[in-house]
Amino acid sequence: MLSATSFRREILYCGGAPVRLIVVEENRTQKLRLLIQEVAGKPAPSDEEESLFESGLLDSFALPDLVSAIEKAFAIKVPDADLNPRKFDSIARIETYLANR
Amino acid sequence: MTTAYLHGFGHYVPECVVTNVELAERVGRTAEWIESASGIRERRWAAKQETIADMGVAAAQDCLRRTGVTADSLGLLIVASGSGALGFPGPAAEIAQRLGMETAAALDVPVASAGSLFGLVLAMRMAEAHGDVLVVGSEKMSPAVANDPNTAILFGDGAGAALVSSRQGRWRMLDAVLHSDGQYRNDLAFDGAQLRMNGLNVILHAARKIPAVIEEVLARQNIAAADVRAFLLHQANLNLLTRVAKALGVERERIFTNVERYGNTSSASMLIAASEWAETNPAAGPIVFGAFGAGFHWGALIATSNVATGMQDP
Repeated sequence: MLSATSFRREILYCGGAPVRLIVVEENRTQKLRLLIQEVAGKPAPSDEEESLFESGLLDSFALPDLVSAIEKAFAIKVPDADLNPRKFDSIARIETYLANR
Repeated sequence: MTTAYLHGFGHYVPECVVTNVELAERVGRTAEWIESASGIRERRWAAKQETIADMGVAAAQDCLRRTGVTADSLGLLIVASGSGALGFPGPAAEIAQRLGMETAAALDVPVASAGSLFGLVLAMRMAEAHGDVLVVGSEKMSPAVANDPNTAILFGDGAGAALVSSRQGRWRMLDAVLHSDGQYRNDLAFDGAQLRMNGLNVILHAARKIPAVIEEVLARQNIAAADVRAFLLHQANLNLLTRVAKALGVERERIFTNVERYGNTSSASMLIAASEWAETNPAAGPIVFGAFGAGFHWGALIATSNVATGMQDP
């Protein structure tokens, strides 16, 4: 099961020089929102139940891009058996999928 | 170890060009939207009286002319056609008879988009027993999609052909992988009147399975994707082919495309692409064929220039 939070290391710079290494706590939903925004080129919907496809935010070609982005960001492999658009249709459904991994 | 060789290709496309501008009003979209969604600028639609067999014969004759083979020497004809798959007999018997193959065996492969690839792999496995094997993919998709705005923009008509033989030829066929998964059979289907497509599921699986099966066959032969001279794939959609290139880590230009001019001609597309590619490219280096379509059926085949016989150049 994937944790609902994760930690990301980030280097703070000042005048181009690294000054401090900080650890940023990331909420899984926030991370998902960022991924969806990167793939769609538009902000993710505020309603986590809203269909990403019916709303027109993602088209059929963005779906494989989103699945690949999720695999990379969460360091998982989505098997062919899980390649069902319904599992990735909304933020809530992706959350459920990741929580059950 | 296989002893089959690819000798050459041929193709035929109907004269009638249907541009995006002509389709735009009919499907309620702009010409620009159609191109951005599919990469397709125009497609060919067969005349009302032009049949799958007519187009298949024309592509077959083009291939025989280019390879210097006569129809009476063919040991087997394999015809892939999804749009002609309903009822019997399929188009193979008619094409064989019209080519003048007398009583040599003719086999129908009703596998739609992956049909020519399945046909090539069958030919590779059967060439030792049958000698010269002609593979034809021929499709008349336009009647199946003409009334559906979602699919009318994507599909076109045409035919391609390839000659496979146990005799030495330009490319040696090294290896192939084929897969099928019937749980998705309703996601892309033609019932004889209308084509139905669950685009989300089809593209999701195609975008993952095509690069995966290509990597599978390349790994078996210990060949890197970067060392492949050309990828000759089913021409479904330019956006899909771009994603396949990205997944394989190769330049987009390494994947030959003509989907811009012909649209998706289902089983015919991979052989039409191979035929056009071979017209202007020497045989040097490995080439990979790949396709994915209704069923789902998908696979990949790798061939390499037959350097040993000095037949690598046209």
